[in-house]
Amino acid sequence: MKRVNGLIISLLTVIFIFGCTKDILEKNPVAAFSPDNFYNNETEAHMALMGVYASIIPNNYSLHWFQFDFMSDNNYIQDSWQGSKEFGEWAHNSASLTASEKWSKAYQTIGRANGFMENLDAMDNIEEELKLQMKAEARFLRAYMYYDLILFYGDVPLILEVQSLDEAAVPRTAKQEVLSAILEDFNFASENLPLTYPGDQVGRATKGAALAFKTRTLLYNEEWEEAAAVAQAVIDLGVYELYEDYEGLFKEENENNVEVIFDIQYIKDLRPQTFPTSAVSFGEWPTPNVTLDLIDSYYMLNGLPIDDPSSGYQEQDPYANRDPRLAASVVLPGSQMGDGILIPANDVTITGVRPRKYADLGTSNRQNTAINTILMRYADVLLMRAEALIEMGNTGQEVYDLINEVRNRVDMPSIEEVEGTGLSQEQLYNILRHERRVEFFMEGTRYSDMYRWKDESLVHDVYGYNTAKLSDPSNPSTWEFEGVKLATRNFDPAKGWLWPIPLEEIQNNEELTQNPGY
Amino acid sequence: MNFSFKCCPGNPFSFRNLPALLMKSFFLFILVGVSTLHAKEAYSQDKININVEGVTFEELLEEIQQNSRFIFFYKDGVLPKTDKITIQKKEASLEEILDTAFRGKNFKYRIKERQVIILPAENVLQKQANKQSSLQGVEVSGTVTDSNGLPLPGVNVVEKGTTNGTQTDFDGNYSLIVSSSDAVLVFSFIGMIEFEQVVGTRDEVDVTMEADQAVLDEVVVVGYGTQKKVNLTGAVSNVEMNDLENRPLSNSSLALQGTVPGVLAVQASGRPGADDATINIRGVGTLNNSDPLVLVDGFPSNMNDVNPNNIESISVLKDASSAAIYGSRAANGVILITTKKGVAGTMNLSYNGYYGVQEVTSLPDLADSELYTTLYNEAMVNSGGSPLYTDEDIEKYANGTDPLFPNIDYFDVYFGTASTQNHRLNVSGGSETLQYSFMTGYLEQEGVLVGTNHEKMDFRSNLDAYFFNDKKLRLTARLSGNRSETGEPVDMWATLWSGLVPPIWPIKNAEDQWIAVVGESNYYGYIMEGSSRDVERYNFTGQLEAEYQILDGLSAQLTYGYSVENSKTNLFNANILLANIEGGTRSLPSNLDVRDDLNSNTLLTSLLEYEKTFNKHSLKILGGYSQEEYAWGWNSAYRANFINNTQRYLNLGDAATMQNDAGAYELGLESFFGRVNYILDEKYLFEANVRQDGSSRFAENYRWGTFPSFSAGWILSKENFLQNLDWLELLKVRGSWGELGNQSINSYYAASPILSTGANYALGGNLYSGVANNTLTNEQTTWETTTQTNFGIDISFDNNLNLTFDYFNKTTDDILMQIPVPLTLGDLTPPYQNVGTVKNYGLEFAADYRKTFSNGMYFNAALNMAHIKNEIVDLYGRSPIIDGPKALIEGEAINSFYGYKVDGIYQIADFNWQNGSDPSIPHLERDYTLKEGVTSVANFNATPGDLKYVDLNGDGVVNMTEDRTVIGKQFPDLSYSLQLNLDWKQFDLGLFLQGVEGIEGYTSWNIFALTNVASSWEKRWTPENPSNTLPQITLDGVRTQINSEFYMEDASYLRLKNIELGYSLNKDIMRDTGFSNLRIYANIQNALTFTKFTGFDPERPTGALDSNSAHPQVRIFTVGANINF
Repeated sequence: MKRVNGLIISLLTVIFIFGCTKDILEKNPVAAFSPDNFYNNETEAHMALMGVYASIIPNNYSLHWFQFDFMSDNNYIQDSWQGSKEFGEWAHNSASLTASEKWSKAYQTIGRANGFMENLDAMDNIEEELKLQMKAEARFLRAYMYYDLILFYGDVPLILEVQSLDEAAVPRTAKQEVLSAILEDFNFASENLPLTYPGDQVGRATKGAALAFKTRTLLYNEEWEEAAAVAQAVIDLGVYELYEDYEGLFKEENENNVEVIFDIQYIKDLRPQTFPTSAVSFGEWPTPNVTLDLIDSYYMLNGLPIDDPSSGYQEQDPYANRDPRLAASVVLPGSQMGDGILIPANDVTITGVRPRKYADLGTSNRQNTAINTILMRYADVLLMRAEALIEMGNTGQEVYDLINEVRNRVDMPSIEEVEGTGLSQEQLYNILRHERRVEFFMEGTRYSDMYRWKDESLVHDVYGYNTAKLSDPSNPSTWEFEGVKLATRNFDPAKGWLWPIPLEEIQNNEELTQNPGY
Repeated sequence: MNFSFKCCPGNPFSFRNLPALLMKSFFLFILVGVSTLHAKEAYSQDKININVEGVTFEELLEEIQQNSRFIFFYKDGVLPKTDKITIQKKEASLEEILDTAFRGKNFKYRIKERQVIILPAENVLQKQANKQSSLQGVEVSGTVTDSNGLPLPGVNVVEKGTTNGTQTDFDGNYSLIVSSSDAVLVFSFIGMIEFEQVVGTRDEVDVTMEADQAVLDEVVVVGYGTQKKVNLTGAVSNVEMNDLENRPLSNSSLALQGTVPGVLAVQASGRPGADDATINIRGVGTLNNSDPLVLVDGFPSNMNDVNPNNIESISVLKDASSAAIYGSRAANGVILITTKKGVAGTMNLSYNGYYGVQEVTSLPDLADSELYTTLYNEAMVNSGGSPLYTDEDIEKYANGTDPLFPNIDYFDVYFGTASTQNHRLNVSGGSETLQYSFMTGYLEQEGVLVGTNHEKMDFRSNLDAYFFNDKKLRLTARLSGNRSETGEPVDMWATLWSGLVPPIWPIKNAEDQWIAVVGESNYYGYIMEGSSRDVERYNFTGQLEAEYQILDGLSAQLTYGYSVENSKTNLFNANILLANIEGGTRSLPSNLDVRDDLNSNTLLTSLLEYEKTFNKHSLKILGGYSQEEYAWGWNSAYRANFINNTQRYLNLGDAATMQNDAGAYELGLESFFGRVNYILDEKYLFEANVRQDGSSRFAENYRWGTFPSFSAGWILSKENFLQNLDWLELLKVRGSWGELGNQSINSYYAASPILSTGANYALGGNLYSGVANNTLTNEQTTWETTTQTNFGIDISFDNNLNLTFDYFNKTTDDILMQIPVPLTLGDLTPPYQNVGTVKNYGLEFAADYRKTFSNGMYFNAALNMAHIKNEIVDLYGRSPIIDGPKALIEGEAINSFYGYKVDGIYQIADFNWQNGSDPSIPHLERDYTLKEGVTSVANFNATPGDLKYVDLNGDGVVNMTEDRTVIGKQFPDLSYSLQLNLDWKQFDLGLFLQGVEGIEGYTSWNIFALTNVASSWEKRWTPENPSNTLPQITLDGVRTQINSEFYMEDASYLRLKNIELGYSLNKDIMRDTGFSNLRIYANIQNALTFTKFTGFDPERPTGALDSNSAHPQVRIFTVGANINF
């Protein structure tokens, strides 16, 4: 009997051993999709396309477009961990985080776009027209990344297809060749993208967006004639015009207005801004400083610069009768900031002034800001065409009209009324550059402009207010506006006008060479 | 609440403040316990099968002992060594066998329950004693008990230096006439430490004998079984739980701190509920998870889920041969925990409890408001700006009269003292066929950090039941579970950071509103308004085991178990009104994030064991199979804008803000394993293991790994040429070699391409789901392999001194590394590739000494030391891989600190300035340029007061690519500990010292608008105070964020980890109370620390960088009691 028991148990053991083994080791991802069995229909293609779009959302503070203004003469951040300080001071090096984050982010979008297109091409159950449009969107986003890459890094690896790990070590491609690829992408995009989208799809790339970014790419690369022509093509689309309210242009209630050509779309709670602009404008972000230089660059309402003796500028009443864009863009000392008044002596910013543009005044939770970030608007197209024309040597009336259109929107006088007519190319050129600065403050283009203009004069020390003298909240009339130097910025000609290739990438890929000066 | 304990009539006493639930469970256990106690013990009816041929009496008794429940006691020399017996009996009673065997011999036996005492037929010793008693003498009597208070029969009691002696009877009583009151009694008993006692004026001498730990029969738990310690061939260490019993350990991992050579257990923090230690066995062998495999009663577990008080033994399998049976996950070593089982006999009921107060061990000394503002202004100026605080402001801060210009010690705001209490109740006992052990307890820890607390209740029960004749079938059920509640701030990191807030920020304004500190937040306010992260965790593990003796020596065992763990996280950000210091308020809306995690694990193990001894050969064979499945899953949901700050339920939030998410993973492991032990002549030991493992982490063709090991030992002390050395009890040399695997990487699907969800995008106000490929996949990932060689020597001296030496060399190849890949691939997470090699080698030493002195004093000292060298051998051409101040570099230890070396400070004399260095130009207006030949820095233009880095390549410029090097390491050269125990009369004293030597810590001490700095910055470089150690203070991140030796500090420490004084009530008093043992004690943990480290506590998680990256350690003062009923 005992032996029988023993046998039974031994048998059971054996059955257990060999009976339960079949599926233990076959584990496939349960709560995830596999690329091998995705891309079956339009819905899935749309999901993958959304993944490409999602990649253009800045995922790091250093990449937020306003950080690029902080690197320029418009702004300053005294804490270096955000990256813009060292770039602004020309102290950046190949290990600087921003250089590597910009690089990674751009190639992430490019990689996603390439992967999307490869899979889309293999789909056969999707309408050809839709397929072309989706592909055009992916190529638009890819080109949008490359135009930034060649501006900051010069020659960069041109990757237009999905790579395997073995193929990943590629050398840099000549900037000119990358430029051709960018233009091809924009051409394909502009030919296959619709003019507009239905309301629930607004935010996807349009024909106008492709043409406008093509304009910018051409302008950045000094292809003046073509730039002027493509800008004209955007104007001729007849889709866009200037939005009448400059301050309102950057408010959530006026999103997707007639001036917006391309933007990053956000919604409250579910997809708010990652590093919200409202935080920059209020107390949450202790270090965003507007420089005195920027404030001084806004003209008087009469169109004259403040250092013009006849401008009527009062040093101790500095904000009276100024270009309305100043108050719309900047939280000036003594002005409303949320439900309080900005008293520079009490604020942690060191210049005593904060940015206002894009501030969501209606919300107390400034981490939950959902204003779309405009990456391209019609005013830029107008000024880009004007600039291209000036660079071509065209000083005709059209240049005046283009710039005036932008100035007149905020009731600033026309060029003719202030500077007169028959201006030289250089005079117009300076007017245009000034106009770009005050129009696009905090929109991330100032730093790019400085890079493409290679204008060393824009790299200079940072000045702000002596905040201690702006202290008595009850009586701003006692305030004394005194400029003080806050930081030193010196252009380093050795580094020139190119960023370093990220050090880690040079270690990752021995085919890469470093830019001079790093 | 009062509770009367009725078991001892006439002596009711009451517990106070014991939680009600504990009481309820206690009653439940009593009920269950009583109901299992009916089976009356009937050892005498046990039937024994015996079949021996030509064996000695000793071997015969050994055989009977193994085949029955009887235990034999006899004195050396009682049994004749030369007589050979042959007996064959089936289902015989013990009496039948012994009567047959002892027929005609000069000794007899007595049976009492399971104890059998063999005595000489005529008690020679007693005779002699009686003879001497005719002389003038003193009569002494008394009782001998073991440490549990149970009487010890058969103990030899001899007057020292004479042959006068006797033995104790069944109740442990003896009586003897000694020559004088100066006589010393020597008590000796097998398995107990010899004990001497002066008679003195007493006529009653009661003695408690301690078990002799060094005894050669000591058995240790090894993989899938036990092994006599003397027969071990691998490197296995046993944690002496007796020494730890009374330490107020809040979790089991701390039991390994300093108790096992080669095991580095670093307590991560004093955070309630998360104060467990990170354990590394023999260094960090991999770049992946280096946690050892922890098995509680054979089941893979979290060490925190077993209470230290419930642990019977801990074995640490360190080398390849002892761990190889767990091949798959044994590369980092294995920790085997066995929980307490019931023992047949009377019910044993014990209570242990303590109450304690905790405080932070050490906090750095920070600048006050006056110094902070002065330093900040100076930093502003040094960074090219202008001062932020006026002299007037600074004066206000110095005066401290204006509430808006305070001087707040934020450590005082965030840290305080906190209480802790722990109560444990154990019940055990059973009959011959059913043994039980029930354990339950309650732990409460308030945190020293505001808003932290932890509460845990647990139970564990072990039941063993035997069936069939000769107990051929054993069924064991093990059930355990716990429930914990942990509360802590929502953002632990930010809260700890807030302890470093500049002292100038008020907490509230005059309107009693929370101030937005630094314009941002107010974590203290958040916590006070009700923000917290509450985690409720449930864990349940159940195991059922059956073992059947198929044939003599052949047994089969089947174990099935599962565990489930459920965590409910409720993370609530309370609505708070923040006031800006410049005026204006804003109300932050509340939001709630809830998350439910459900993890499960099933394990099926079957074993077949065969054991046979014939002549000089002893053979053990084990074969087994196991399969394990894990599943993890979570759901989360979110809403914002709650109506109030107290009702933290999702449905009460704003429906428009709803969000949710989920995730799930699975893992499967399958293994076949076998082991052969062979012992020749009790001297030559051999062992071989092999294990084949499959992991679902890998693709089909790369799934299986085979891990063999071999070991051998030689007990030299049993050889003839050493047998005459009386002082040498054991001398053994052993060696092992083997391979182990590791698949514990941070990815469950390393070989499967995945399209990640969550890449969502909004269009026209609608959110659309998006997917994206975020990782590269390598389908060829397979096992990491660790090869380890070990040599060891064990020496035991006759005087209870034991020494163990081990040398090991452990190399891990094919380390699954995510070596960086070009970002141009799409910024994808790199795939795991089997590429790296890491080596660890070192020496371990353990010494243990135990002695009971003639005056009754018991002394025990245990010393552990280990020197381990860690080295990265190969990084697949990617060396160095730099990550902030840490780097992986070939030839260096893992994650060594990496940066510039520092050689003092730039002084003014190193520079030229305007007008031929005109000294009349003020310092700040000088345009400094470095003199010819002075090393410059590539990253910034050096000025006086900057750190001077070492130009390693001598090219005159310090730059990132050529001049950085290893500046410190995170693993100690030497780790050591010393445990001292002293028992004398009713007192016992325990000291536990632990330390590490040759380790560096990183401190980041930079001034910020957001953080304060150490007060030592008072001695910074200024033109007036040209320090050569502390640089000028600056806000320039380019300067402050350069990693260099400046931030490295020697983090060696020696710590009096534990000191305890106990007092046991006199046994005579005890007898009247009904307790068998009552001991009270006071204890201090982390009592004293000797270190040069100036940051937070030097004992902190490996690689901790920020000053605030870990919750500080705590010092705990406790008082407690151990009661046996």
